Amino acid sequence: MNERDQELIVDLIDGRLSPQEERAALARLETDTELRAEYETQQMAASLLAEAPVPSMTADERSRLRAALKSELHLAPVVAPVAARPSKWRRWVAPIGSLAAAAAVLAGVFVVLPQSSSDTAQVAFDATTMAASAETTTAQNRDRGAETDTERLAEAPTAGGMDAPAEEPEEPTLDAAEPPAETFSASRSIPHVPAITLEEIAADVSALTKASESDEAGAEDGAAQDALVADCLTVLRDNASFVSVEPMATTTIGTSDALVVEVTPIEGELYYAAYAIDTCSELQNTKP
Amino acid sequence: MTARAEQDRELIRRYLTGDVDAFDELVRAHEDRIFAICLRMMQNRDEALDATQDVFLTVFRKADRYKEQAAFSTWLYRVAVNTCYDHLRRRKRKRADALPEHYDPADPRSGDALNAVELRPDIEAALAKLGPDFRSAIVLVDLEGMSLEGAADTLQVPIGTVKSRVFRARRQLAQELGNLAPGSEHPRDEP
Repeated sequence: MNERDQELIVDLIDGRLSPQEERAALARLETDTELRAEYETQQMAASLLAEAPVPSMTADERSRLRAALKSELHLAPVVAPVAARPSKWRRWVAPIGSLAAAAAVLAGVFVVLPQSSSDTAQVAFDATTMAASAETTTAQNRDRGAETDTERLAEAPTAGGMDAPAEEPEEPTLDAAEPPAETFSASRSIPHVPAITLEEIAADVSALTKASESDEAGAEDGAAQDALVADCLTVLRDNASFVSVEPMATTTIGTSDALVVEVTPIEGELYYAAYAIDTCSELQNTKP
Repeated sequence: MTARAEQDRELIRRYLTGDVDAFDELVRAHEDRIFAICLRMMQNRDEALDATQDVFLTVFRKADRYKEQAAFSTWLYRVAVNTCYDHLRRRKRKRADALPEHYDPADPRSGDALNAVELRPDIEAALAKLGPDFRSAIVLVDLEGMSLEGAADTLQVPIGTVKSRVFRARRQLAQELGNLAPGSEHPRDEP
């Protein structure tokens, strides 16, 4: 069966044919036994699926989802102010998030947070509490591709968000079962691969593991490189075009130390890209 | 444009000017459908919930990427499908890393996880065998009732590609379920 016949069957089942085209298609089915058998097969499969009940969230799942989103909404910024700020600033803030929080403690600054309960629009928090919170969540936020704590706290929306109980939630969140995130360390979590192309990675991701096994020593890039890699990942994860950015390896491209990442864009298909670790500028990619 | 699409545009405009309540309304309007898509894709309720959360967090943080040429829901479903692809890849890697030397996978036709998805277990098992590209096409078209054009917009592929994926996915499902009509048993490439 050729592609046109396949399309004809799909169009017929989906009701996309004009009355005239439909009559012609049905007439063909009368005489073409192979086409008819395929049509019946397709029709049966489509009907089975169409009759399936629509799954829905349970009350508990809905509550968990909203609690988790609410928890994030408290910390994350609304989009507009973020988009309006120069991205360069972000790169400076990322590595010094903890320092900024500590400075806030020293200065005794009071900062306005978003509502911490549903009936309180703005609550002033002692900066000491903020700093402690910032310290404990920085690693998690880096891992999730979120803003730094300093940014999040400073920019968090002041309007209400998801439904919430009157008291600050002890509700389970989607992340509750996750182990505490460790401080990012490129040398520990990303393999160093001495020589590999993005095409090789795209063709077979396990090539990374194989290549890195032969170069254990190459992983010892040190804390300075870890910080640059973490900073670059923060910038990339902030990129509004990406759903997610997964670090895959560090390598060398030309004369540059490079970070290889797997990018799931909001639009389009997954691709791999290499970024210069020191400048976080893109060197190569496998975009289709 | 439908009333829902108009409302969505208004809500996203309000949200982009700083009105977080508008985001709340968007979540309420779409959470069930996004969860349904994620559940069909992930076939596990906890993972589907996790993916649903990530979809809305992406929308929350990156809503300014939405361009009004398409309906907001089309963009949202695109984010959902790509988020599910991302979660499926991570799951695959995690499993590959964790596999014991003598891995003996459980029978996919049994288990609470499948029942919890609310499809017949044999259909669920057959869906699980489809590659992500084929599963997403059939989930959007046959399970979510999206038009072929809508699915093509959401998946960002030509409509011919959607038709081909739907055709092959339905065929494999029928094959897995033993529902091949007599005369259509000839071998084909499996998705």
